[in-house]
Amino acid sequence: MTEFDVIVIGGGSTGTAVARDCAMRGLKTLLLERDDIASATVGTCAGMISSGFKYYHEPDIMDLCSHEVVHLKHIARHIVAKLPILFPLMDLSEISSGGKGMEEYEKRVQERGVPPVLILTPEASREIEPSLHPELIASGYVEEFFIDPFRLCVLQAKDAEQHGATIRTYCEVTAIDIRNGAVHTVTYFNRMTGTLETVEAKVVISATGPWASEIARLAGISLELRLNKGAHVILDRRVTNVGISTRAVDGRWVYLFPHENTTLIGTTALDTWDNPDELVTSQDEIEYLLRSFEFVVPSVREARIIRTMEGVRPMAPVWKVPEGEVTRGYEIIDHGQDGVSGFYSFIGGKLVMCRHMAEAVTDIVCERLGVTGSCETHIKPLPGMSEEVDVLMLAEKYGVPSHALERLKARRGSELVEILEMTREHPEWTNMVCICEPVMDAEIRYAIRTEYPQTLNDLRRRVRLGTGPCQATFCTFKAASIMAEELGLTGSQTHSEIVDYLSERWKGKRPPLRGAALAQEEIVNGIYACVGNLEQTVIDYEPKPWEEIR
Amino acid sequence: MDADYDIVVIGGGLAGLTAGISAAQMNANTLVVRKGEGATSLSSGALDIAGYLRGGETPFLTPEEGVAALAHVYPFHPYSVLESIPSLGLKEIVSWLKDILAGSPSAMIGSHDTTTMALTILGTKKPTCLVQRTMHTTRLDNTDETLLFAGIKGLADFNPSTASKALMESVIAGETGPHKIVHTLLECSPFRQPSNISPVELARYIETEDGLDRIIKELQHCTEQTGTTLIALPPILGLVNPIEIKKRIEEETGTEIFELLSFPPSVPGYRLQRSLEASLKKAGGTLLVGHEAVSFKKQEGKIIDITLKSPRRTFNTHPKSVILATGKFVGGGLAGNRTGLRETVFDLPVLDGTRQSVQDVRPSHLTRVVPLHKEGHPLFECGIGFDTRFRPIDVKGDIFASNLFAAGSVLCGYNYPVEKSGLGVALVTGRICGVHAAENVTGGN
Ligand SMILES: Cc1cc2nc3c(=O)[nH]c(=O)nc-3n(C[C@H](O)[C@H](O)[C@H](O)COP(=O)(O)OP(=O)(O)OC[C@H]3O[C@@H](n4cnc5c(N)ncnc54)[C@H](O)[C@@H]3O)c2cc1C
Ligand SMILES: Cc1cc2nc3c(=O)[nH]c(=O)nc-3n(C[C@H](O)[C@H](O)[C@H](O)COP(=O)(O)OP(=O)(O)OC[C@H]3O[C@@H](n4cnc5c(N)ncnc54)[C@H](O)[C@@H]3O)c2cc1C
Repeated sequence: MTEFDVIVIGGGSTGTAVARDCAMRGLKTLLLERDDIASATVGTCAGMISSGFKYYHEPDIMDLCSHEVVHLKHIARHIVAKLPILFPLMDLSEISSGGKGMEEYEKRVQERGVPPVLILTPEASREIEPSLHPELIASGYVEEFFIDPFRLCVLQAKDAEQHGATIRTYCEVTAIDIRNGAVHTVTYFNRMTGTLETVEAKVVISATGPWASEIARLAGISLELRLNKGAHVILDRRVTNVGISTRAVDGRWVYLFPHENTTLIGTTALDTWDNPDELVTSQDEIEYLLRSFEFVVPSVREARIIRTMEGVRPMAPVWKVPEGEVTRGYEIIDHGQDGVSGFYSFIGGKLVMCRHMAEAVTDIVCERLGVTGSCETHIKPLPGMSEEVDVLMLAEKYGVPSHALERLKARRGSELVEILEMTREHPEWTNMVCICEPVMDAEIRYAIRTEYPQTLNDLRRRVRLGTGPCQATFCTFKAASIMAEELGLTGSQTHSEIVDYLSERWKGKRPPLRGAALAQEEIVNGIYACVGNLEQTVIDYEPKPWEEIR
Repeated sequence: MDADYDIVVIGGGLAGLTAGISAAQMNANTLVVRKGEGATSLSSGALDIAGYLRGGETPFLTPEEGVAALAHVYPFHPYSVLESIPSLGLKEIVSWLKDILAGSPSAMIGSHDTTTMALTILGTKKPTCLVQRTMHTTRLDNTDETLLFAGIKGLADFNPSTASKALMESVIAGETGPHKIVHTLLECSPFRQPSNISPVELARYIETEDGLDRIIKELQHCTEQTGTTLIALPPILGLVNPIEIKKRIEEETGTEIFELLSFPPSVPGYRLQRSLEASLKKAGGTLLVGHEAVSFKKQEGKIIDITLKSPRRTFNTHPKSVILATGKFVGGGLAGNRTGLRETVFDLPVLDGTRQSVQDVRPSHLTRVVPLHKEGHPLFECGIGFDTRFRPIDVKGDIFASNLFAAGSVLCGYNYPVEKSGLGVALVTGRICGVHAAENVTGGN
């Protein structure tokens, strides 16, 4: 039986960061993820690596967030972007409520290299963002950073691998065995091979977000979390030039961010006891978000909603306060206190602090295992991070439109050159398979060859396939064939892949279905049912968790 | 400016054009207006009539049997009206369309008493009735053919390897089909561009001497090497004279070639749309493109005025009969917001397949939790209700106007994506409406 120093359970932002840190410090590391990298909570978040503005009552957390932004910019500049955000004020009472937050924010602007809070006149506000309500009285202006959460996780996993870690996706942990009061083995079900496998480990770290209680239960430990559902509504285009943040109908803060070729509106906050895999966004959540933004961006309903997206915040079990008042900090639980030494769980935390969380737990593990060496995850860059890439020159050289390369660069940094190199031998791989985003054939192949996606949905996380206005109507069948070529799928496996991805997209398209999306769905049914006849052809379809319950 | 026609057809997809041609052939002064393209030009260009019962798994042996079964199982199905009009049977309607399209780029092959299992670009098969001559082959069931799936390098819409694997698997599983299946990518790019070629661009290129020569040379080379006898191509054999192109390639390669059913942008869908438009003009009808019916006037139970609007002008017509053939969501005949569905020109009530109003039903409630389902999404059964003469009914269930008829996918009661009945219902209802409306006009004179 193989023995590992550390087994990390969970391949979200936290787990991939932990695996990277452990591997960089020379620990023999295995990461087990039951689905794909970034397939759960982190994949549903906005990707804001914020200054912690909203949590001004927790200055330590604001410090932590602020430092982490600096680190992330240093190690992954290519997937970090800056976005100006306006806080439109509709009446005077709103001004007084922001004072403390502004003060705390300004303490940390220098570190992040952004200006202090600016208060803009209505005219100046509307010049920056004409879609704001004409009767606003002023607005606050701040700048925040965003990171591509999918790319961050994939790059952390890739980097961990390059430092010797083993990354296993589609491996679900089903048992944790304890011997003499310490973790001994971890058993997982390998969904690709259909087999149960067992490995030994000195240390097990559960970075399973909302599933932390379930993993703890495998070791006979009870661990409480406060789970809180958050939903987003996604629009078919960038409806504003800048981000907007405002108070929702119930006084919570909500945001609207232009994101890639779409707009993200979020989020709701609902305590939940449901299975996170079965959740879908409700009508009330959609309406809550749209209604909240109508106060400041009256035209918000004119854009087409392309989908909704929902996730569950794995928060610390702090009760009897609103979600917004629960600490945004994280905690590492040493289950030695529960009689299982060498087993650690995370609760709480955010995307922005994943590297910090990893550093903290790795310090503990190193001490336990007697390993010296310090953390370098904030110093060493992630793959793709290197000198500037000359997009215009490359566009000319490889005959690819520069707008597509610009987007490719934002996902890939300097890896983009390797992708373009692939098109020398196969010029036809400059085909834009997903036109909305746009995504090139060669990038899909590159991702398949180096980033272990198993499904089209996994590919989406790596290359943004099918995330634009048509929501995979026209790229699904094309990308499925590329995947079939690269992975040697049979014809019927290829057809199943198509239906699988349509299902995943449909999950988010169905709740907000209305307006022009009705015509889009008629086209989907025209293509895949009426002509493709796939509802008759694909007979081995396994319902998804959210499909089984209805 | 006012213009006067006996009949105004709102909507110029297959339903509207069929209605318009029928009326014009009966000497009614007919105008067809369409604001844009609808589902017809997005379709694969093969005309389905009846493939399955909703939820069924075995295709009907013949479209005729399918029409009878659908009419029997679903009393509100548009096909159920056929029984009450013996003079316009399915057979007559199908051969009428074949006559109309004979000699056009989308001349059709097939008949009401044969279900054709047509091959798609995914390598799947679907039951249909009429296919364009360029899509036709009888040799797909021969076990001793060598079938070549030929894609074009840089055309992302068709991957011959997937199609050939899928078909081979079905042959191995016991279906009849060629025992030798190969695939290739041809170098045949217009302007030598390596990628991002659209099917329409390719179809135009193949209509040039250069393009035709190149594809012939590429195919000759390939067939020599593989012993190919039958070639499946994506539908790119030209927009204007695909039949001659097919013949030329067959002569030069000594094989039979046919086009696969494919997805938008669809060359055969475009051909079908244009061929029908040409037929309308030939029959003496008038077509106005880029004009939208925006409002109407009704008096004493009759529509007396339709306002048409284009970016440059607005004018009124005073038809004796009106045919509504505005399609479903793609065409623009139906629209919906989060609270329910509505019909876009006359604000007629929208009903589901069981004739319950869906005026106040949230669209997502008319769908299933899975994206594709053999029984289909009820959403696509929604449309306007109609009487046995295809006259729309109002909220009270009464005829909305005695001179208004409706045809095609704006109607409720059928689920074309799963039944495989899309263009078929448009044809049958369009033809019947055209004839009724023309009779109405003659009767009114
Ligand atoms: C709507 C929403 C918006 C948010 N926005 C932001 C934001 O803008 N900025 C920010 O910093 N934070 C944000 N957050 C918070 C942030 O997304 C999460 O705190 C963080 O991403 C959690 O990452 P994780 O890796 O801990 O959890 P997850 O991403 O959930 O990863 C846990 C992984 O464990 C795996 N797993 C579970 N069980 C098993 C098993 N038995 N075996 C193997 N693997 C298993 C799961 O499949 C999953 O991939 C947001 C959260 C939500 C819900
Ligand atoms: C992707 C796809 C593939 C398909 N493939 C097939 C297939 O292979 N075989 C098959 O049998 N069926 C197929 N179908 C179904 C078939 O295309 C439709 O059911 C059929 O075309 C409907 O015809 P129609 O004339 O009723 O509507 P449409 O073709 O949609 O025509 C509606 C017309 O009305 C016009 N219009 C709407 N409102 C107004 C207005 N106010 N004023 C003026 N004009 C207006 C539109 O511009 C359009 O010209 C497919 C459908 C889709 C979406």
